[in-house]
Parts: sequence; structure tokens; C-alpha cells
Amino acid sequence: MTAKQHSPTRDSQIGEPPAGSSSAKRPSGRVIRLGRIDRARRSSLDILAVFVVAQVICVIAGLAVPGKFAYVTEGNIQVMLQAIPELGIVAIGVGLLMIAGEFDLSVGANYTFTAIVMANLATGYGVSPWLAALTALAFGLIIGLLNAAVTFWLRIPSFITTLGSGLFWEGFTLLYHGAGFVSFTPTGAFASATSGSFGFLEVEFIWFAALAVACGLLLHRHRLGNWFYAAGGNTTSARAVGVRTRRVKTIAFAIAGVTAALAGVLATSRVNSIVPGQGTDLPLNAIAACVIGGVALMGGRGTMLGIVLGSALIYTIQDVLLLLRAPGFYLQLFVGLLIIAAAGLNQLARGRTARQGNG
Amino acid sequence: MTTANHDRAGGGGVTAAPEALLELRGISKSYGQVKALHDVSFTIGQGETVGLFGDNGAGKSTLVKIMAGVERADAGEALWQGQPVPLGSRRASAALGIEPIYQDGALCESMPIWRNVFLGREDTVRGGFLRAKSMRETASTILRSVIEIGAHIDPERLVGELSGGQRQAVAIARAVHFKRALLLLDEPTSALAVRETEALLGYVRRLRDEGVSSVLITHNLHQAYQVCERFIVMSRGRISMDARRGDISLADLTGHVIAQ
Amino acid sequence: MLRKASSLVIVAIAAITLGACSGNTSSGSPSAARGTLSGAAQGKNVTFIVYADQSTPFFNPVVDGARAAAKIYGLRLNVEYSGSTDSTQVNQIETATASGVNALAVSIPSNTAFTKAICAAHDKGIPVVAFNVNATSGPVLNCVLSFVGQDFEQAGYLIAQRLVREGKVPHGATVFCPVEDPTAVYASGRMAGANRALAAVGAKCDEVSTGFDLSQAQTTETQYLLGHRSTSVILALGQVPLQVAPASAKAAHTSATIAGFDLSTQISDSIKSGSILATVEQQPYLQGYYAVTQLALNLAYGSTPSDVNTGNEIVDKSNVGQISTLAGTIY
Repeated sequence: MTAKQHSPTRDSQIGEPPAGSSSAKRPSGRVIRLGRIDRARRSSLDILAVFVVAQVICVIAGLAVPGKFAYVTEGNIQVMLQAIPELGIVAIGVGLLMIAGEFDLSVGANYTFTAIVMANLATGYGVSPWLAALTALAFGLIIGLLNAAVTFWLRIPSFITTLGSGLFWEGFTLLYHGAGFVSFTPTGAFASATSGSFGFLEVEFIWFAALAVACGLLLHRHRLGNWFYAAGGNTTSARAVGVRTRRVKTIAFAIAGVTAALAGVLATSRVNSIVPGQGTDLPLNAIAACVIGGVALMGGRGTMLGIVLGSALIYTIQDVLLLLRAPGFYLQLFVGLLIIAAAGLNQLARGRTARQGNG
Repeated sequence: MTTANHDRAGGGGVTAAPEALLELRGISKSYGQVKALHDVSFTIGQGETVGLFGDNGAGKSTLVKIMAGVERADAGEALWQGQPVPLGSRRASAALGIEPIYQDGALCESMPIWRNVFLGREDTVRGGFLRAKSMRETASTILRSVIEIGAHIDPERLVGELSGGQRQAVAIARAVHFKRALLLLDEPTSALAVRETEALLGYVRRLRDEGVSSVLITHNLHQAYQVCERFIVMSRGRISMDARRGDISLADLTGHVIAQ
Repeated sequence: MLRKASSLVIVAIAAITLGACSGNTSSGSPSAARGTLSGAAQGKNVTFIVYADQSTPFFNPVVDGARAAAKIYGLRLNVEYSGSTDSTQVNQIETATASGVNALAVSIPSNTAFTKAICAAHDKGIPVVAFNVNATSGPVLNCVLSFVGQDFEQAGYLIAQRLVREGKVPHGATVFCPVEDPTAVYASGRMAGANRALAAVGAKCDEVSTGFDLSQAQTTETQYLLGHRSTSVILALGQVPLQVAPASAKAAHTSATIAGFDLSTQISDSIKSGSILATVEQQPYLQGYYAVTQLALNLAYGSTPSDVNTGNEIVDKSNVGQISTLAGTIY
């Protein structure tokens, strides 16, 4: 590779940098040059800012008037560490898949079906809970792979495939099991590993954090992550340079399936019972968490940090409302409004960034 | 002026014919009833910039697609540096070093430049983890080599923030960096502003120094005449003229093309 | 007392059934034609429409009871779910009528929405029995032969009254009333009854929706209790919120009294251990069982169905062992 000489005349520039970009006159809002930080991750810094501000306000309020707002209490922190992972673990899988350009609406049915299989094996057939849980994860993987296979072989949008497969697995659960409760009461090491706590730290949260770190490394530091972004951002371009987009998306479908099953295992271990009809709002809540966290519906954008914070934020919204004694009947109303507001703010922030450097 | 003229090695050429890189013999292709290419044969040399002209439907795009491996010829064969090779798939062509350059650069708008440059060819440690620092630095180097646009551009910027011309430049720079042997450019300047066009052409001109061959499809004869050493004119699926720059004037070339 | 009467009815029917079955021969023979129960109603089609989603746990035992009765009388039972959607149920009733079903069992949660469809079936000579919830007034009542079910309002009143009588409800208190779906018929009925009893001490229900997901319900209840430290009574209006109430109370470090509705293995265990004070068992199994039995008898003998109140039994530590086995389908 020979070094290039400077061109003597400057008029052979390939165009000026586009108007409004970083080196041209810049609207006075964003003067800070973030430099090394992946520009695509700027949206996750926005959500981080929102999250931190929200938490700071809550903590201060909780410390100031603990009688009226029990935010900083052991009970609240404990339930937070148990509940966020239930949505968060699913959101990780759904988010990775969304970044890769596809959807999975079957995660709720997956979560329920695999948990029922596990509970039946353990309670009904005396199988070891570890083996039962592994079976659940295996079924979750199969469901994910089936979603991928149907999407690609039949060439239908994954939104439709997984809408259908979700209904299928819901119905199949009732066919296979009927409509009753199954108890699941593991003891010993399994119970500690899935629903215990190390002092303050709930085990569910450790699973969530570990999964977030692992998938975060995969997404941001591994070439597979690069392929996720490419497959979701511009499938044609990705294929043109030789990325095997179908294979990459299949891996993402598989991850979504396994994470849904894992969430089911942990939740069932926590409440010691499972019944069909669970998890019906899980797919949409997971998508909402991702969108709030900066994942684009169209694919190609998003960060692990954003997904984690989006899940935590949704949980925090409900928590704050209940702690503040918002009228119980209107809980859904408020949560819905706040989800829209949070996602809208995120879009505004992204719009600002994009407009600055629009080619 | 409609006689076919397969004059290749001309005594009056400015430079001697370069070593053959890709030779196509007897390539034919039909789409249903329509015969897009009739028995097309020609050779591209090392470091040669070839301009490909012809009216719409002449078969230029089809020929280029076959070279890229996106389409498969019905008949004919190809030789790469003298050895017969199959040109049946994108993967096969890519393995030889043939790279199509698209108008949008085949880049992903939502990703930073450095990730795009290394897409599919990531620099990794064992296990597949990215050597991000090294890739960013290399991307900077690549951008700087395309001096005119590189100086101000941070490899962290999203491709979506680049203009069309800049994107193509990035795509070309990527191809050069990864030592692609033959670039195929289909109407690269049609969507560009004047200054961007000049810059892109300047870059294409320098490819020869890198030892990279290229095929440039264009309607702008004036531009092509400045940049290419060889001109191939196609008409109705056949090559009607194949001349070196030294052997033909712009006026004659124009006349020939118009008369098709 | 009502329970004793109900038991007598069961015993009577069982005796007749056993007697009839022991004399069963092929349907072509004269002795069969003379009126063995199973012979007469054998093979007839009964459509049983549940006004709920297929996975709502409350109706499992109802359907089990219906199936058990259908099996005894040799009926062909077709169970359908309308998912709490009026238009779906209307369609299902009309389809059953048009396809010539022999008998129909259905819930009637509205005084007007189903009048046309049900009366059309009635006019065609199809016997209709209502179960689980009946209209309170209107012409539809004329098209229905009987109602088999419990009184949600009465159930709510009973349990709340028990709490008040035992002094568990402080004056003017707010009682935490979590429920899966506040719009469900059982929810509004139970809450109305509970509020009626609570009014005696100036207290009332604070109703919160928990959804059907056990884990989320536990989270929601815990969060509520953390925010409402002064809660002293939890009256869960449904099975899911009752089941997770003890764990929620524990997580929120509160020692509220817990009571509710419906029965499951875990609820039964919690009563035995004392973390749940009492629950109301509404014998859902009997609803399905009696409704189908009455239709079978009507088809076989033309006998007239009559209203059956399947009763509201308060289950606490004193009788939980016995009830668990008697109630039929416990999970």
C-alpha cells in the first residue's frame, strides 16, 4: 500500500462535509465532541441521563420522606432486584433480535410453555430441577429456531411469524397440559441458584447482570455483534460484503428463545407455581423497554446499556406510582402514558443527533 | 461507423497493453426470450481503467453483474491471470478480488465508518472479538489516503452522515485497502454534484497507481475520456468497439457511441 | 344447611345413576328403550360456553364438573370459550342453535346482550341452563330454565363480614383488594359484597389490578404494600392474587391479615400454616356438574331444572383438610 501524495490543488475535494455536520457551523446545543465514543451510542447516553436523574430524584425523595415514599427500603430494593430481571432478561433477547432487524412476539408463550414443561417434569415425574430447567431452555431454543426457519423458508415478516407462533404455543400449552396450575418447589442448590439471595443481592439480578454483560460483549465487542448491526441496519449492503445475514439472524432468534425460557425458569422458581396464560404482556413490554432504551424498531441501532436501562425504567415507573399511592385502578393508564413519553423523548434526542450530521 | 472493431493491441497506444488480469471469452446471457449478451469477449489488464459505454439495454450492466458473480452466464468462460475460473457466484468473484462498488457504497448507514470498512472482514483476536482500536486506526489511515475527504472525517461518524460521493469514496478506499484487484463501478457519478464528481474521478484515476483495475460504466464520455485508458462500446449485447485512448480521439469516440 | 341439601341431591342423583348404569344394555333392546338414563340421553349434544379465556384457572373445575356429568349420562359435551367477549358468545350461541344442538349451558353476564340469541334457542325447543352468573332482570330470564351458580356478591359479603366480626378491620381502614382483572364479573360482584360488609366499620376496598401472571402479581402486591404501610387487611378477590399474597406480605415486611377467594394447593397450604386466614370456596366443580346434570335429566325425562345455589363455603384452618379432598379438582 503506497503512501499517497497530497493533491496539489484543493479543488479535487470530494464534496464539502455536509451542511450542519461537526466541522461546519454547529447549532450551539452540542458543542462537546464525544470523539472516541461510538456515535451510535449517544442515544444510550441520553437514556442513561434520564435514568440517573430519575433515580437520583427518587432516592432523594425516599431519604427525605421515607414514611411517604418508601423507595430506599430493603423491601423495595429487594423486589426491584427480583422484578427487573423478569422483563430485562426477555428484553435482552428481544433487543438483540430487533437490532438484527427482526421481531419476536412469541416470547410470552415461550416463557409459559417452557416453564410448564419444567414444572411438570420436576413435580410430576420427579426429574431433577436442573435437568428440568435445562429442558426448558432447550425448548426455548427450539422455539426460537423454529421462528427463524418459518420466517426464512416461507419468507414472511418475523412480526407475523412470531405473532402466529405465539398463538400456536399458547394453544399448544393448553392442549398439552390443560388449564391448571402446576407447582414447582425446588429445594437446595437449585432454589438458591434461581431464587435465593446473597444478602442484599437477589440471585435473579445476578443472572440478569451476567447475561447483560455477556450479550453486551457479544454485541459491542465481537464480530457477530457487528453482523447483527449490519443485518438489521441494511441487509442488502451486509449481504453485498458477504455477511451471512440469515445465519446471523437465526442466531439472534435462538438467543431470544433461550432468554425467554430462562426468564420463565426464574419466575417460576420465585413463585413456586406456573399456570397457562402467563406472560401475555411480555412481548410488548419487552419491545417497549427496548424502544425506550434506544433500540430502533427498524433495526440496526441500539445498545445493551439502553436495553437494560429501558427495562429498569419501566419497572421504576410502576414502582414509583404504586409507592406514591397512585389510584390503583389507573395504574395501567399512567404506565402507558409514561412509556410513550419516555420513548418520545428518546426519539427527539436521536433526531437532534441525526440532524446534525445528515448526509 | 458501425463496423465492429476488436482492435486491441494498437501500435499507436500511449502505453503498451498491460498484463491480462481478467479475460472473458464468448460470454452469452439470456433473460427469457431476450438475449442480453451475444458471445462477448475481451480482456482487462492489470491496473487498467476501462470505460464501458453503450445505450440502455446494450448489456453493460449484465456484463458487469456477471463479472461480479451476481448473475451467471449461460455460456462462455473466464480466465483470471491466465487460469480458468468459475464466475458463478458472488463468493467466487469476491475470492478472486472482484468488488462491485455501489452508488451508496454498500454501507450500513446506522453504523460508524470503521465498522463498515471492516464489515465481513473484521480484524479479530481469537474467539472473534474485535480489535477495535486497531481497526479504528486503520480506518483513519484509509480515510486519510482518500486525502480530500479523510482529513476531517472521524471514523466514528455514522455512514449516514456522509454524502453519496463520500460513501463511494469510502467504499473504494475499503476495496483498495483489502487489496481488491478489480473494481466495478456502475454509473458512480450520476447522483453526485459537480465537485464530488471531480473528486471521485480523481480518485479513480489514482487506482492505476495502486495496481487496481477498474471497469467504469458511464454515459459521460467527457469524464470517461479523462479517466480511462481503454474504451469498450457495447450495442445490443455485443462489443462494437474496443480501443485504447491513444488510438482514438474523444470526438471519434463520441461519434461512434452516438451512432449505435 | 344449604350444603347438606346439595349433598342430598348429589347422593340422590348418584344413586339413580348407579342403578341405571348397572342395568345398561345396548340401546336397541327393549329394556334400554324403557328409560335407562344413559340410554335416553345417550349421544345427545350439549354445548357448554364459558364466558372467559381458556386459561382462566377458576373455570377449570367448572369444566371438569361438566365433563364428569356428561360422561355419566353419555352426552357429547362441546366446551367453548368466549373470552369475556359478548359478540363472540352471541356467535357461539347462534351457531350452536343453528347446528341443532340438543341443549345449551351458558353464563349470562348481561341483562340484554344475549336475550335475542338465547330466546331464539329457547323458541327452537332447546333447553337452556345458565351457570356461574345470571342476568338480574329482563326477558332473557324467561328463556332460561334455571340458574346453577354462586352468588359472587354474597361470597364477598360473607368473607368480609367474617373479617369484620373477628375485629381484623380497623375503623375507617382501606382494605387492599388485589384482583386479576377488575372488569371480570366475579371481581365486581365480590368487591360489591365485600364493600357492603366493610361499610359497617366505615372501611372499603382499594382495588388494584394484578394481571394473571403470578410473578408480576407478587411484584405489584409487594410494591403496593411497601407504599401503603398502614395496610392491615388484604382481601384478594381472585385465585392468583390470593396465592401470592403471603409471599408479597413477607417481602414487604408487613403482617396484614390475608383472606380471599378460591382454592388451590398453595392456598390450602397457606391456610394450614396460618399465613392465610380464610378463603371462600365457591365449589366451581358443582356448577358445571349440576348444570349438565339438569340438562341430561331434562333431555332424558323432560324433568324441569331448578335453581341451584352451589354455595359459598368459608374455608379456614378448621375445615381445610376436609374441603381439599371434597372439592374435587384442586391443583
